[in-house]
Parts: sequence; structure tokens; C-alpha cells
Amino acid sequence: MLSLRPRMWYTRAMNEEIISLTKVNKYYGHGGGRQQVLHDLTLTINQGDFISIVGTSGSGKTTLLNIVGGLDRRYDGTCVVDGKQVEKLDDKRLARMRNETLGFVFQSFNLMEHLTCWENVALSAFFQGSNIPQTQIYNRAVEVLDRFGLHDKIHSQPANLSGGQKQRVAIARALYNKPKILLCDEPTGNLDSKTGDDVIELFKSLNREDGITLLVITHEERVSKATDRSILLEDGRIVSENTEAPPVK
Amino acid sequence: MNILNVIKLVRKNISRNSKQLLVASIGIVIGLWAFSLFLSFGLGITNVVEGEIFPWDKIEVIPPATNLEASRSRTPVANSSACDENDFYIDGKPNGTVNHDLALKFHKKRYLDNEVVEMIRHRPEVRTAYPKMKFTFPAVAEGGQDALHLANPLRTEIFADGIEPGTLIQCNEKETAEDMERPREVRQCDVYFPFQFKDYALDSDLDEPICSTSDDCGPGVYCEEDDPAKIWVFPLNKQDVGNMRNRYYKYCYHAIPVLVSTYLLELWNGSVAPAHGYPKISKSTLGTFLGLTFDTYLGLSMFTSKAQTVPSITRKFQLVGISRKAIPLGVTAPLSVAARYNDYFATRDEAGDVLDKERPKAETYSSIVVRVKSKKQITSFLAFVKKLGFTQEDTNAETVGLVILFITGILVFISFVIVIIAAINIANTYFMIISERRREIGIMRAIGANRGDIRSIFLAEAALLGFLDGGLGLGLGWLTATFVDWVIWHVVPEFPFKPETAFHFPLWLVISTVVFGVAFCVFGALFPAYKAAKIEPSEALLPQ
Repeated sequence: MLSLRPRMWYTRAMNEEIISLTKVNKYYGHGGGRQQVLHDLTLTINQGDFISIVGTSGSGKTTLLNIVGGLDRRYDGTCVVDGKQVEKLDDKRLARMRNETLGFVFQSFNLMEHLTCWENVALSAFFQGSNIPQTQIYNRAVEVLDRFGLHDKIHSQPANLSGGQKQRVAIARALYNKPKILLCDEPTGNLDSKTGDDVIELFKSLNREDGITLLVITHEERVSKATDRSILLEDGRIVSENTEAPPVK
Repeated sequence: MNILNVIKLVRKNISRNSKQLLVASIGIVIGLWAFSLFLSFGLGITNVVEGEIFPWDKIEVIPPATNLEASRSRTPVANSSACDENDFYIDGKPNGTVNHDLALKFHKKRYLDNEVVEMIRHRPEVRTAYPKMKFTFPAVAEGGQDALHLANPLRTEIFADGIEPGTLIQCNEKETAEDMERPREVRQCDVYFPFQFKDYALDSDLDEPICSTSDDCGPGVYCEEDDPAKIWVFPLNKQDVGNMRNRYYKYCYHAIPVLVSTYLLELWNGSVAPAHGYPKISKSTLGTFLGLTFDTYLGLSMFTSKAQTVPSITRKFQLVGISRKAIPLGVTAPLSVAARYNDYFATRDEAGDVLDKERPKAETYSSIVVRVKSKKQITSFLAFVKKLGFTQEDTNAETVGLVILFITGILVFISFVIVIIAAINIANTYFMIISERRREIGIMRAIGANRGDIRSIFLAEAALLGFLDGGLGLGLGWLTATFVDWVIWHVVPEFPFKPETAFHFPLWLVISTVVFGVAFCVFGALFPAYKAAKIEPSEALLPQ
């Protein structure tokens, strides 16, 4: 079976800390209009965790995801991902970390409409420093798409896919480089319940079989219930954290 | 980032935004079209001017109009260290020894003779050098009614000079046939078969038979009145002065071969022939004009009634070739012919000696035509000429060259302005494109693109666009040039020096047009690309 196990899987034991946020504060705006979105947020996620973050709109979920994903570095506090202190990384190293360690899945799929499925999936390979042969890039993209049952869509444009297929292509793209951590922002938000359930099952399988750490932001209770641990954010603060699914407001 | 991957992304991006980029490219294409067209036109015209009208490598050395230097007394010296900065150390010998006689004589004379010719020929800058001697007396030509199918012969004052026959290319039958088929610019022959360019008088001396009509003489030989100048062979042979023949006899004389210049041919074809309805001398009719003979009245003028001290002479001149070495407006005869008649018409004292003030024009060359080896060496050669105390014939070539350069410069500047404005348009388009692709930039950043990658994608896209625009602009420029050339040949009436092509597209122009296209598009996209690279991924991914 196709392995999506992340790099260095055997050198890092399960339950080892992979994401660590310490006293993270995040502000938007300037002067009088300045608004604090995260308040002294401290959070630790271990290797192999499947975690959901729930909360109302504006509670700081996406901001938290952006900080962990190295997409936003304008914050106070410390964020360590896979042993690297994000705020201290320069642009190139941060980009490399995003490319090799992290995978992103978005609510609106964020596929490039002018590229075919395999090109979308292989896009991260385009930004790798080394010169990888084109056939190797293509073969890997086909391999990942195969895993998600999209073999017949390899050369299709995203516009010709259903919502579920698009999200599977997006997940395939996120997994192309065998990341250790998958960061998902409302991954089922644009999907019907049946397709959403399929995606949840896919995440479970990635977590259990491949050992990928998943951090999922969601509004949906069924998603949070599927995770091992659920964190409730309110006004940028963690108000509850348990292994049982928290109530979703 | 792998270059192949960049190209793949760039190609897809360009095809996606093809309409926007096509509109934005119009300015660049127009600018580069203008750039290639104007510059190639400037180069084409320069080629015609430098190649045919005022050959760049041709310098005509002439004596100064007023020779103040001649009054300075000079003493021959052993070597150049003895000279001050205003002196010129003359070393006419190739082995480097000082020629005292030459130095002394030269400083006294200051006119062009064989020694000066030799000195010039020894210069490292000089490819060839040959002297010319102008006819220093007036002359009137009459004839041409048969060749031009006229009721009356043409009569005109002519200017003439003489050059050494050895400096010309005299073609045999085969070479003549081949050369006549060539375009004007690349013709090699100066003299065409079966004619020869030489002083027949030197061959036959005084042995021409007495005749009553030209029929007694044979082809190319005419029965004419005795030529009194013929016995005064240059340099003056005083004992022959009183030995003039009886002028009531006629003798068989070969016509004096003369050349006309390509310049005169162009004037004839472009201005004179169309204005008066005369036939043009073209590739097909050149043969009929060669061999044309006309009577020339040496010592007579249509402009002045000043009488020569010696009787005028009537001689037959025969056109034997068309040469770049011929005098631009007039005819060119063998040098010894010019020398002989200059000597004959020179003013003399009672003893029969040419007056001192007349000697330079009777005995020395009017100019030395020099071909330099390269453009770079013109300056150093002219410095040498200046030091010798001579000057160069002002052909206005420099002025014409500057005018062409100036006009070309203005046109190229205008095309640059167009391209710069177009580059601003490109910048504007890229700002719009980047705004449209903002989310994509965020996605690419999220999956591992760094700022440099984003910048590279946009700049490579602009570079490819510029390459296409450059190629298109160049192609349109070439098409326009071809069309203009067609119009010049088929629609525009004849004019002097009408070129085969008015445009010249050297390789550097082709490359620079494309390079400018790339450079200006990249320049236009530079700021937007930097701005795109600075977008924070978290902001780029925000729902729009």
C-alpha cells in the first residue's frame, strides 16, 4: 500500500512534542483600532495527534492555524514547529518548512484552476530547491491521486470536478511531500455531509495508518467528534480542552 | 526553483491572461517595431552613404589652400628627439633612416608629388593610395547625339582629372560579362572589355599615320588634328618646344579613354535622364553606353572667355568604364594625359619654362586618394596628414553622417519613449494580474514558495512576454522594411543612389531588439513582482 508516512517517522517517537505555542499574542490593526485576537495562548501538540479546534467566528482559530503554519509571523510569543522556532526562521527556511513539514487543506479547496489535477498536486515539488526529474514529479503526483481514487482525473481541470473530488485533490496536494503535520481549515465546510464524512474518514486513516499529525479547524460537531482531542477557543483564549468532543456553538 | 517548472508555470499563466497581456503588449510591440525599423533604416542609409556616396575609408589628401607652413625654414635632423612639438619628423624610408634630401625638399615644396605618395603608402593605416591630377585648364565636351538619339549633340563644360591606370581593375571579356550582371553596389570592374584605360600616346609616340578621315585609321582610332601637347611629354622636354608639327595635317589618334563615376551615373539616372527624357544607363543598357565617344575642346570654356596662351586642342574622349575612383562630376583620364595637357596649358616665360607659381599645378598631384584599413585608423592617419601640412578634401561626409546619426538618434529615442510608456502599461497590467492572482500567491506561499520564487515567476513571465513582443516587433519591422523597399523600387520615381534596400538588419540589431523587449517588460513587471513577493501569505489567503 502507498505510504504517506512523513519523513523521519522512525526517528521521532509518538507523543513527542511537534507543535508548541507559548504565550502567543496576536493583534490586528494599529493605534486605537488595535484588536487582540489571541491572548497568551499556550498549546502543545504531540506527534500523531488528531486535534480539532472549534470556536465561533472571530475566536482566532484561523489565526492560530496561520501562526502554526508559518503563514503569519507577526505575533508575540513563541511558536515551535517540528523543533524549529517559526518566528526566527528567515523567508527561505520558513518556505522550506511549509514545503517539507506541513500540508494545508482549505475550506474552499484553493486549487489553481488553470492547472490540471496532477499539476496542482505536484505544485509543491515545483518549489523544491533540488532539480527533481519531471517524470519523478509526475509519477509521485499520480501515486497520490491514485490513493484518493482520482486516477481518471489526473489530466482534468479542477473546474470539471465535484466538490468532494476537488477537496480530495487538495488533500492529495497537501500530502504530496509526505508532511508530518496536516493543517486543515474547515475542510468539510463546502462539502455535503456524505462527502464530508468521507473526508473525515480519510483524515482518520492518515492519522492512524500514516501517523500524520492533524490539526483541524472546524465548525462541525461531527468533525470534532472524530478527533482525539478538541480545543475550544473563545476570544483568542483556550476555554476548554478535552478528549471528548466539546459542545460546538 | 527548477527552470523547467518556472517555464511550465509561466507558459500556463501567459495563456491564461493572454488577452490582458496582448493588450498590454501592443505598446511594447509598437515601440520595438519602431526601434527596429528606425534603427535599421538609419543603418541602411548609412550603408548607402558610407559605401557609395562618401565611402568611409576613402580620404582625399589635398594641399592646404594657404600654405603658411611653407614659409617656415627647417633643418634636416638626425632623429625625432631633435624636433620640438610643432615639428614633424619625416622619415620617408621604410628602413627608418632619415632622408635629409626628402625632408629638406619637402618642407620647401609642400605639394603632393611621388615622394609624398610613397610616404603615405608606407603608413601602417593605409591600404592603398593613388594620386590624382586635375585638369588645370577648362574643357568643353560635345557629342552623344547618336547614343541619346538627339537631333543635336549635347554640349557641356566638363571637369576632368587623371589617375594611374595601374590602380584600376581592368576586366577581361569573361569578367566584364559577369560584372555587368551584378547589382551596382558590388560591381568590381573599373574598365570594361574590350576597352583599355591607358595613355595610347605613350605607346605609339609620334608614329601615328597621316590620314584624311577616320576610316583610314581603324576601329577606336580617329583622324584628328595634330596634338601639339603630345611632344611636350611630362616632365617638360624643352628641346621639343620648337618641334611642333604642321597643324594642317591630320593624324590617326586613339581616343583618350575616360571613366565616369558611379556618382555621376546615379545623377544621370536619377535626375538628368528623367528630366530631359534621355535613356537611363542601367544594367541592360550599360553596354551601349560604353565606347561612347565625344569631342572635347581642351582649353576652351563655356563660362569664361579668358584666352589660353597656347592654342586649344580638340580630342576624342571615349567612355570605357564606370568607376568609384573616377572624379564625381566629370571624367577621369589616364594620369599622364592630365600631366601632359596641364603642362601644355601652363603659363610659361619667354624661355619656355613654366612659371614658378604655375609649377605646382602643372607638375604635382591635385590630391592623393587614400583607403585606410579600418575606421579606427582614420583619426591617426588624419593626424599624420595634418602634421605633413596637408589637409583632407571636405566631402561633407562627416556632416551627412552626423545628420543621419542625429535623425536616427531622435527616431530611436522616440521609439524608446514609446517602449517606456508601454513598460508603464505593462506594470499597470501586472498590478491588476497580481491583484487577481492574490489568492494563488497565498496558495503557492503556503505550499512552499518563498518570496524569490514568487518574484521569479512574475519576472520570468514578463521576460517571456518581452521575448515574444521583441520577436513580434522585429518581425513587423522587417515586414515593414520589406514593404517600404518594394515601394521604393516599384512606386517611387528614380532618384540618385536609389538603394537595393534602405534597411539593414545586422545580427546585433536583431538581438538587441529582443533583449530590449525582455528588458523593458521585466522593467515594467519589476515593481509589481516585488510587491507580489511581499504579500503575506495569511493575508493573501483571506477570502476576497
